[in-house]
Amino acid sequence: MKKVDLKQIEHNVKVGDICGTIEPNVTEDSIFYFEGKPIGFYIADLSKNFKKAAQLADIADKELRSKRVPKSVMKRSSGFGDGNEDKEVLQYSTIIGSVPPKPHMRRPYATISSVHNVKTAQTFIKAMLLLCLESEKIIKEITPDLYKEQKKIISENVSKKWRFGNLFTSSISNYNIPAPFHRDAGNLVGCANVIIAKRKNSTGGHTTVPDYGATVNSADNSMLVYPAWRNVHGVTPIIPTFEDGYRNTLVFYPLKAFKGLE
Amino acid sequence: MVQKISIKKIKPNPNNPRYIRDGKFKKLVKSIKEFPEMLEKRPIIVDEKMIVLGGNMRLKACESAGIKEVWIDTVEGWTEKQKKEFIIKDNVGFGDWDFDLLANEWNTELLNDWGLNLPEFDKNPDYSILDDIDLGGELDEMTGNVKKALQIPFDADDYQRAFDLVKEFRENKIYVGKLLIEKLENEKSRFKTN
Repeated sequence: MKKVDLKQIEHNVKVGDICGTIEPNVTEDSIFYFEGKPIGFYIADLSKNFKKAAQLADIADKELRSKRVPKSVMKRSSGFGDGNEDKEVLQYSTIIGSVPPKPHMRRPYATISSVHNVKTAQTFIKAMLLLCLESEKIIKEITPDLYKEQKKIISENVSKKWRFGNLFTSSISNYNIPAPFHRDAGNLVGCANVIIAKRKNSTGGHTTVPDYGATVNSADNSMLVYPAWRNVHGVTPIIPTFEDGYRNTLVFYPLKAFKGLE
Repeated sequence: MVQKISIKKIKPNPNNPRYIRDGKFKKLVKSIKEFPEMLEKRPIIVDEKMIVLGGNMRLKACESAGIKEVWIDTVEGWTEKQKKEFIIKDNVGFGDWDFDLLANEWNTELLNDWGLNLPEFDKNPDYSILDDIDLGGELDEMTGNVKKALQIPFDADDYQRAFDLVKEFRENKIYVGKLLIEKLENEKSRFKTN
């Protein structure tokens, strides 16, 4: 794997800025180092050396796109447009695993995503949990120190009942959703996220980190392990190249809202 | 006039608004190496100063392919406006592909190799991998061990009172759910005995 030493650079990007189209400059298997310490890595194609993970990602992706999995839906223009609603691009997301307390929504307690109670979504949930466990094996193999550290942080801060896998609390699948620049301030400090991309007939959707001038290719079957709490980052616009084009990310993340919760 | 000249004399256009991704660039280099005769029939278009108006990507690919001389066609007397218009119009594709015909009559691997973007089709993943793995009730445990909520509607007159009571009990760390169940069980046994 290529060793990439990340260096802090000057930029004017602020939280909330819209992320425009940027071509990726991280396209091959790489381990990211910051101040000599590995903080994440990128695998361009899981199907080459991590077939099981790639198979599980295929299943999760297929299930998510089916009617069997409930989702929060949005729509936007496809750019193919003639105002025809059928040609609008769907955007949706589905959260599974633990969801933190939301007192402002009159839910002052943590719980498990309601998707877990939907019978038809069980295949998706099983595939996602297995994919999460496979991702953890990959992290352990490629960056054992990062694995050890994240396991320690989770063990010390999050009760077993709120864990998704061993290193995370929750998962979100984002279908065709770009993101303005933001920092995952709700994540446990010192931990990394896993972002597995599935896509067809589309361009864009790359994760860009202005602090390091790095834009990571959101290739089909790619896996990015990245400490999303650390820097401001954004996701470039997703543009379909054919009418059914999409880009879906299967994300695992550790939230600090479960710290100390029974 | 179409002529063959040293590649070193041609200057890439610094204001070229198009770019090429790595994968496609490699395909273009391969394509040029395999079929160099095409370069004569599709010369690079340059202005009087040898700046490229059409064929910036081809120029770059020819350099990468190790080609020393390339075919050019020089435009003369064009205004800056005309040159800019050409750069865009030369790259606009007005036609559409008939993908059914391409899929049936052409070798799709070759088409892909030649740089034509073909739509990808959905594949059916192999679900049997899920059957081979038993999570040992881990999924049931996740949902079986957390608080769940019921929505209970109140009449408008009762709502604020109920809200304040629940809030007060919660603040005193008293489990409202249990109290509610006990109260309802009592009520149930009362109307059953009646």
